[in-house]
Amino acid sequence: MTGAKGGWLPVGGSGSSRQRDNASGWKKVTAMLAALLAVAVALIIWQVVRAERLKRQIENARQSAFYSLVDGLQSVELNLSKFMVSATPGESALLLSRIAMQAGEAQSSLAQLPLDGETIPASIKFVNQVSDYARTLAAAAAAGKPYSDTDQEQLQALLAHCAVINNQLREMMSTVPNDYWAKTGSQDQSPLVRAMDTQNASEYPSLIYDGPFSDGRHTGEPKGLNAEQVDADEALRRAVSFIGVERVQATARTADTNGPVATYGFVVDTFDGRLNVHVTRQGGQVLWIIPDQGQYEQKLMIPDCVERALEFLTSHGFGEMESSYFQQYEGLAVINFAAVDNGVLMYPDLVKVQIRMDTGAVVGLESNNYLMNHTDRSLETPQLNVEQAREMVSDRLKISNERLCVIPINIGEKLAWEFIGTWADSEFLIYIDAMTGKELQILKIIDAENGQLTI
Amino acid sequence: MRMIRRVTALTCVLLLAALLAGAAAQAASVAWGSSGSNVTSIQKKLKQWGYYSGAVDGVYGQSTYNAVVAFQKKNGLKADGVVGTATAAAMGVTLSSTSSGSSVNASVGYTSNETELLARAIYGEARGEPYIGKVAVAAVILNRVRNAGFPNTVAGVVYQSGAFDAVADGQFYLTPDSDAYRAARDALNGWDPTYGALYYFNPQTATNAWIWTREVRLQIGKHWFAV
Repeated sequence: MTGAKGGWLPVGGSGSSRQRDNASGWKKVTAMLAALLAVAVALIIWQVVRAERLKRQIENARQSAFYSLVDGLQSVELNLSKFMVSATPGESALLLSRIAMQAGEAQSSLAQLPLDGETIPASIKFVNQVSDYARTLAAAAAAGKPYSDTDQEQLQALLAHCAVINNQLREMMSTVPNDYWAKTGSQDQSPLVRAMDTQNASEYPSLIYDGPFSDGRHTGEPKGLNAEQVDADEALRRAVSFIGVERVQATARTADTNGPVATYGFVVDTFDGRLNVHVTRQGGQVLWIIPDQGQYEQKLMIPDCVERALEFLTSHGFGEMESSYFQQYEGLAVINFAAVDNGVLMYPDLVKVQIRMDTGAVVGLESNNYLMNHTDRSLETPQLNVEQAREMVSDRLKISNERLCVIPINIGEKLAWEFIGTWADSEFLIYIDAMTGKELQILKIIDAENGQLTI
Repeated sequence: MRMIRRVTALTCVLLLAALLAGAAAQAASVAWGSSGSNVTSIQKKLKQWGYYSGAVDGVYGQSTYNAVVAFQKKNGLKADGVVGTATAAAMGVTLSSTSSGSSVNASVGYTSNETELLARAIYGEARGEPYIGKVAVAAVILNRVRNAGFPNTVAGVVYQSGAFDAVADGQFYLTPDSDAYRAARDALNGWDPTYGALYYFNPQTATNAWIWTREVRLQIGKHWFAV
């Protein structure tokens, strides 16, 4: 390409007709440019209007979340203070359920606001714990358990903390400009971060109660691991023998994991595909195996897969195990096994096995629960026999199966009678405390398209 | 110009490949142990034609297996009891793709909506990462759900303001691939390569100074996983 030849600008020449052509050509170009400009201006205006509208929508959504947060926390403060002076168990329980609900709503509003990394977990933790703690106390009240002095003190500390945040939020409401809410991202020292900052508030104590967000709920010592420390070479040797020496083609080290249960990481290439394996440093046990590939043909039937998985577990020293549930996806069968002790099913001691549905090879394993919980339990004799426990189950449930088991609860575990049955074409599992007859848990099998109980 | 033509041709080939791959991924198969709407429609067909006399209950058991094998023998198909593309076509049944996870609604229960949200988060955040890196991203989301410092639902965590880049820039709305779904289900089933991590970041692009104060548990691909 040379010069402007072939371009859209009129090419200069000689003679009057050429000049006339030139003049009309320029006119055309000017008209076209003007039209283009008009379109561009119209587009810009439209975009600006649209952006303005969207910005306002974000502003409104965030303002709404902010006001819900403020409302929620004020109601929490109000009801906490009412609780402090209420004397009847019924009224106290009602106030606690309200606090639980309002704190829960404050939490969801808080998560929609632009806050920075550091502040947000602390603030969300506060409202989550208030909600969780109040719910636990309300549930205890419903079971006829009175509050202790510690509960009273802890709630008072939460009330004081809540009051400080509410004051800061009120102050912020009067000072923050409207357009603050449309700002994308979040800055470290934004007014909201300062308002939710509780550095000046009295630090409330670590809360110990039975709910899922209690500070007392930590992983604890792994019960299924012995004290022996293994080095990386020994860990690899164990990984290979666990998978099966005859299956292994090549191995390599990958990243290790730190933390409460530190592990060595390996990649093991086998005839059944590449497997990622982590072995615990303490005890030298395989913690998990994850296969890289999926999408296998579904050739095997589930009972065959269950049998192969069970064979694998038994030949790898897992003791007596029973399958409780399976799922299948992407040509892999995932089967849950729980340990069995004298006929009692130990749900906390859970191992999951992945089987290739074309060859039946074991390609995945997850034994964290088993390694954390498996131990020789000295089980108490149940205070209720199965008939007495069945009395506690709703008449509406058509019971098909019943047995004694141990189930994990938020903190610790409980000996329970398990009843499996159906109501309204849905399958339910109900657990009755074998000591007290209390209904501990009701589980429903949901959306069982790919998963089923194997019991 | 030749360049443009080449690019166009290449695009067509890629588009075709993508379509074919999509079709292949959609071709589910139904076999013993399957359940759901696919099984129901197969049972209906088999019942109409007299191969099957059991209940149309959507559960593929022994009697359904016998009926499928009988149908396959009669129609000159491989009598393996697996309803794949060929058998489904012979029956005139369209198999819907494998989808929607399932789980026991345990103390923390999850539904197929959550599988979908997790798969999108995985695909948007970590589609170029090794497979365990994908499981790890989903595990971080689930660890947050269980942690007091974060919202208590998968949706709450995923859509938390400023939490995930993929949600902010729209990559979250891409259609996840089968690896993303498998990683989501593995994480829901309890596989956690991070052992409890609550954060992950790419050390090359992390702009937030605060994130460097977190204790790093392990590194997978480009991501550092921390608590």
